[in-house]
Amino acid sequence: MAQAPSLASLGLAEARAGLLKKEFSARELAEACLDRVSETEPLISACLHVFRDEALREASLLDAAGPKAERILWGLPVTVKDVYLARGAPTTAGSRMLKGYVSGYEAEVVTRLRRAGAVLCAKTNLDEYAMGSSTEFSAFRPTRNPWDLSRVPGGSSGGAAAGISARQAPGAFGTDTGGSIRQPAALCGCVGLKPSYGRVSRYGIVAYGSSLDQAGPLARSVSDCGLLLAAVAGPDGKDSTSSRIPPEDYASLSPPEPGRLRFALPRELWEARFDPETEKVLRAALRLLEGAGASLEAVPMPALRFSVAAYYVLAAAEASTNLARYDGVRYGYRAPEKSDLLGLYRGSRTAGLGREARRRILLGTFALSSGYYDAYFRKAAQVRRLIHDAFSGVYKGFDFILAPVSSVPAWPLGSFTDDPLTQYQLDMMTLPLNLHGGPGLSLPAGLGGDGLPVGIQILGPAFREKPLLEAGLLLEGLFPRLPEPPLKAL
Amino acid sequence: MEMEPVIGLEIHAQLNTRTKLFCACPTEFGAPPNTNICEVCTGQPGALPRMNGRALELAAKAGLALGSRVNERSLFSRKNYFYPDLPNGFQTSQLDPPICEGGGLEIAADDGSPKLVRLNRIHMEDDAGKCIHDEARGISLIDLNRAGTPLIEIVTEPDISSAREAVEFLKKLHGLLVRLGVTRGRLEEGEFRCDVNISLKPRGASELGVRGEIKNLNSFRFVGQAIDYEISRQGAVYSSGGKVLQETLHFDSVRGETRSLRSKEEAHDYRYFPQPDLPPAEVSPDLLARLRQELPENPEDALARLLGSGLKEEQARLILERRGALDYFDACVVAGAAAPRAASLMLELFLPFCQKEGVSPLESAFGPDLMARLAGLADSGTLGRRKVQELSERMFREGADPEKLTRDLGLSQISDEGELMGMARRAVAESPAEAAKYRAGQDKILSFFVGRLMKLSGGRAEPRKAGELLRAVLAEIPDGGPGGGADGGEGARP
Repeated sequence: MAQAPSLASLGLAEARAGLLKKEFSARELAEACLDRVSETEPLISACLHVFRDEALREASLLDAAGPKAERILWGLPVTVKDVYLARGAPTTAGSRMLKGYVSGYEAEVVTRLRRAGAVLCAKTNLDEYAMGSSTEFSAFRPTRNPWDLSRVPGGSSGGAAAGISARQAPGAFGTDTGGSIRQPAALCGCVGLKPSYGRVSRYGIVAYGSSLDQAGPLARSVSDCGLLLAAVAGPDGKDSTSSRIPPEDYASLSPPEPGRLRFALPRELWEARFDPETEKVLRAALRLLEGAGASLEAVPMPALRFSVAAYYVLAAAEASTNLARYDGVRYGYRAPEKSDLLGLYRGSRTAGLGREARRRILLGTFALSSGYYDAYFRKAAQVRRLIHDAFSGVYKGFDFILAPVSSVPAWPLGSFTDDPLTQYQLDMMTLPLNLHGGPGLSLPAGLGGDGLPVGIQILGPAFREKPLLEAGLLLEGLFPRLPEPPLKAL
Repeated sequence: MEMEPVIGLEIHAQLNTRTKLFCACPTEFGAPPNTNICEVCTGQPGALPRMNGRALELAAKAGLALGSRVNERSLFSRKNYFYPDLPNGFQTSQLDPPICEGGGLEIAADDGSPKLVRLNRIHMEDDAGKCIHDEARGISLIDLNRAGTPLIEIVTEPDISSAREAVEFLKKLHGLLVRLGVTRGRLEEGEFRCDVNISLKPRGASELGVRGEIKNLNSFRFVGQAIDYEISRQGAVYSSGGKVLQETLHFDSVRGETRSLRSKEEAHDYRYFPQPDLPPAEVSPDLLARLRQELPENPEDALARLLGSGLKEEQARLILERRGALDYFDACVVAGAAAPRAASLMLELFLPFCQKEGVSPLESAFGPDLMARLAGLADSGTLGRRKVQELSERMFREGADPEKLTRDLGLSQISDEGELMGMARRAVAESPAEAAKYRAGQDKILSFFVGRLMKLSGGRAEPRKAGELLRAVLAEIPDGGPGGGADGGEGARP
């Protein structure tokens, strides 16, 4: 695969500067990205819907009106995960159930992106209803990792991360319920931010685990993530769980003095069993940070040991009722056989929903059932409280928590599709943050000897995305820069 | 063995809001199917609920009026079940804590003594849509206009012992909630409907029997019939040695009997859990204080107050009975009207107009400030009774200012003594024969002179004063001389 053309490989900030100086037009930039999409899609399948004509038309309209510096994403191509509704466009959530569903309204994030001048180029692939960590549970096709096409990109925002990595677009939006932004960002060698719960509106985003879901950006640099967040953050009256705390200025960041920073390293996460190459890269990253003068200290956070169990009860419980609306009655897939009402429900949901989605619906239904609620749902809610308190306790003595994102690099397709428990366990690095509710930033720590990227994450106190991004800027400067991915099978 | 019925009620009242509980769609009844809908109330992917603050206030108000404890924070939960008219696959309701707990309403028990029917709780929830089964075409149609309409469910303790008590309770509750504006309470539109839980137990026993739940009764009459039917049905089961089953029943109002819908074994497991898309509903102490102030006084206090302000009991009761009349009356008094005059004008003129035209008092063009001015004109004697009546009609139709009308039409009553005296003398002088009869002792003939004087004044003379002056004039000249007083000669013919 040839290197990406120069315009498509620009980051958001560089592309923005070029657009404002009229070095190239919004249309030229969009065209470069869309050409790159056409070129790379046969290899990676990152997108479910590509809006070539609409995007070029939109870019031409922007060009005709001339650059507007106050619209911070003016003329910049972006993608959104296929759980964001965009008026008139299909939304499938990676599910056969929603094949052919056309959005009748628009997600608040998409509205804000348009208002900021962004050009929506594509909607990206994902695990069905964002349930999964490999994008293999997409009902349509798996996405492949640009660093090794025989491997998964991570998930559930695997399409978003693979597309960013392959230079299909400089910015993307995903969602993170248990790591679905941070983990694919790590496995594809890009930067991903899960904002605090309530920082970005969830309105118009297909729900998975409502109390955990959060929308956030992926890009190829920390400051690009800041730009994307700046365009969409802030209260939304249509989402009652969005926070009224005003956003900070995420578009202008400067790295802090490393000598002042205190990082906590949770023992329960760092003492896990790692893939040797991954461990090497992580240890090197810690040395670089220490060498710069930051203080790193291992801390026990015993409550984290229960996070996988608690998460899969809570998220599945919420999912079981969030997905109840996909019943074949008003929209979406409907079983063709003539039958009674129960038959209609059964037929539609069995054929319309994939195996993993049905597994989590059953798990959640069980956890909420009469006689089991106290043992499962209530207990999990209590664990969540403990985890929240553990984070708050750590932030009293430390600025940030530093953690691995995944104990293994991207794995070959098909490794765990029949072994859900092992796959759930792999999420243990990312789940605790969603149970806490604060923000977390995943960024590349380097490339392993196997040629696969390794990520590291910084977690911070709720609604302090700006200092978190600034710390990320510091780490980004210390860690080795990744080359472009080869887009080959290794 | 003698059995006694134990009855508890669950009442669903539609809250009187313009928009739905979690979106801005109108709640109006009778719109074409599936027109008052949006992504929220049709359960589109990604849509989220947002709380209607007005609905929360109305629910809290109901609790205040019923003596319930209004919780500062209450939680919404999802109640999960599948049905085609339920777009999200769950109803958003309240489990624990609901917005109101406790409280009660007093009724007359069957033996005539006062009886408190205690409330267990009041909680908020959204309504489902409607399925219409088209038997002819063999299909079912779904109308989601009603989906998301705000309801409160009022749950009583099992304190009711008969159909009569149940109906009295329901009527009293209905009247109270309608008066408060909590619900419009139109039964035929399903805005006030009731489930009845009913069981029998040996008289005096403390343990409750197995209950049947009769669903969705939307008329007081059906409630009475259904309870009576169910009491005798369960009684017959017991007396034949059978077992009453715990089941959900439907009342067939045509046949006048209950039918089983489903048994306990088929009961749903609703898998309630906290609705993650909604923060706790908050009723702050400030809001509660404001709502308390907005509560109308209870009828006994209002009656005492009206009697204290000088109304006759008959008047006071009529004003309390008519919807909106008390508010109108109070506004008149605030605008400066004397209470008794305002009451009599309202009852004689204003309220009959309202009734005829189907206008609620405070919505009429004839506002309380105009009424207060009219009352002033009547009290000062500027307008006589007939003129008041004439004016009020125009005021009702046009909202005209009575003071301006009085001036423009020259309607004001003549009460100036000099002017009236002139007319009195002329009336007496014009009818000497009648004057003589009066003087001979035929008192009743005075009304003849009053009529003459009225004619002379164009109907504007103040009748009481006119009478007094006529009496004085007639008493004046016993000797039959022409005229009397200084200016009396005019028109005096023998």
